[in-house]
Amino acid sequence: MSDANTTDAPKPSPALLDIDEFNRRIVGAYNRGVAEKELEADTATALSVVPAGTAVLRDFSYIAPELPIYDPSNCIACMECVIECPDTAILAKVVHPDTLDEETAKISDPDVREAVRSRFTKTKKYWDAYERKEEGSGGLFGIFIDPTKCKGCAECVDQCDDFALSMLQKTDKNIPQYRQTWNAYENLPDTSPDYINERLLTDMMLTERTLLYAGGAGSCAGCGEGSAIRMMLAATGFKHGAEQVGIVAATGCNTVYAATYPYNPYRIPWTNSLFENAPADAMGIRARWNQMGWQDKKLWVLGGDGAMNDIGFQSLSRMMLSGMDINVLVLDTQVYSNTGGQASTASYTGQNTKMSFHGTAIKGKTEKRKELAQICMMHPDVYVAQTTCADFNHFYKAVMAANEYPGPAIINVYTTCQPEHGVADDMASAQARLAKESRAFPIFIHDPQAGDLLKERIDLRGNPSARADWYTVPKTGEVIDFITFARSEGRFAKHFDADGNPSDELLAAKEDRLRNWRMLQELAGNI
Amino acid sequence: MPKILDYVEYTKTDDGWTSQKIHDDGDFVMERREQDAIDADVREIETGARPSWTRLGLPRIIVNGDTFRARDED
Repeated sequence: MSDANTTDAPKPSPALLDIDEFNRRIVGAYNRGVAEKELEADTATALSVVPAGTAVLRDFSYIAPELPIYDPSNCIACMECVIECPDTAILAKVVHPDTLDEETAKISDPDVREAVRSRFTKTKKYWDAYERKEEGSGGLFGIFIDPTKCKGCAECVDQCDDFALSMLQKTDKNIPQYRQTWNAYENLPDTSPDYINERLLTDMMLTERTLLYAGGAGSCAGCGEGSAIRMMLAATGFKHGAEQVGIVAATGCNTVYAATYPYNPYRIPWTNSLFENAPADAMGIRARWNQMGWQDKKLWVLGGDGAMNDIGFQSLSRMMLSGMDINVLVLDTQVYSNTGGQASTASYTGQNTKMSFHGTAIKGKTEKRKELAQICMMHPDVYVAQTTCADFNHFYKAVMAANEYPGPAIINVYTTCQPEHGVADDMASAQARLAKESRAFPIFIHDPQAGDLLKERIDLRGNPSARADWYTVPKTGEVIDFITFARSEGRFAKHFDADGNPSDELLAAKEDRLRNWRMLQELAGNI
Repeated sequence: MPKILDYVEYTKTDDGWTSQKIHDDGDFVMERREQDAIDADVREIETGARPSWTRLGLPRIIVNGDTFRARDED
């Protein structure tokens, strides 16, 4: 007979997951490529729960033939490479020389020690400016590359106007060097708050508290969505802290590359329900959080244009009417990227997609683009921003404002999709900028708290020549219009004849973009 | 625009040393701007060592038209 005081006593619930065991056994098996053969079906798998940040254990160093090489002498510490990297594969720190001496002295291998030291340089921003204020206060700025996260897209190289970055062929000799140097970098202390100007949004990326999206996601090389998610989380994490953020993701590319079992790039709570119901799912979570007294936590919904413009549109509209404090980041690729490139209502007129093939009878998409941001701002008391990652100050300000706004906030961000747009891996920012300049994707803010009149609430600042129809490049006199944009992307290539003349359909698309821009100008009181 | 680095070039001129980064089979050239940094690189080369910033990555180096190999390289 058993002793009731021992064998029948309630046992403590087992932990949901043993994270160390998960990382060792399950992630280890996937990393070795033996998961299907060696892993038995077990509770950990059945739960479909993945610990936070497991994607840091993923190694992509075999993917690309090149990786960036950094020349510190040309670097001005603008941070644009760090900001725009979609894979958290290039990071920076500022350290005081004494700290660097102290920390590098701990590195036993002299080659690694020298490699780490040689990454740091004196820049006007973190050395000269500080030394002018107080001798001995300057910091050394250094850029480091994680070879296990870099997919070789070269977006960082494209961002660098100072020629401090190039791509370099990987070799059996330099890959181990990069690994060792990165590991040493991770042991360096976080950038001191002395070097962080909290009003400068570029500075925040120097801190570890912005790294809520850890890299190791399975997105395509150079993915514009990755940069947008990473930048949104950096701004939110910097201001509010990792403990104060959660994500509800609508099915799409973002759930596939960020939830490929067992790799999770998020260091914060994340959930996915269906394609069509993320905003409704978020309403339930918000209600429960509020019951628990968690009103200050920031809840973000992520979804593509397919999820938000189309399949989940009614759910989004319902959420906006609820008045609940929920933020939505719409990753607008103007196409169903994940399912292979079908047209969405966000696709442009004339765009060649799987559901609107350009052929003899039909010349790409025949319908006009649905402007989700404009529809959202016609819902009462909704903060709306339309922005791009290339305009990172505009993007960051929109995220910060959305987090502060005590109600629904929608940020529609242009996200380049290299395979579906037909552009190179390093062109995410460049194409986003051109989309803005060509009026294909104007940027704006609609802040319900900015005034009673629509024209007081809508701000078109950030668009070049905001009172003109098209932007004219001052130096060259070139007019940047929708045809300029379309000419630079493969998705519109069939609309140009051998002499480069655009089709009638593309000219109609240009007219549609102009009408859309003029409507925004009118709403903003610019015309 | 791949901008793949082929080699780093150092050239002695009447006005001192210059340095360029040659990319894409010579189609793209990045000028190195900081003369102090270039001079420091050359001092290291003269001792038979790689410029410190090139020790991570080991790009090819050409000095006055000749391939440079550091003391400890094959």
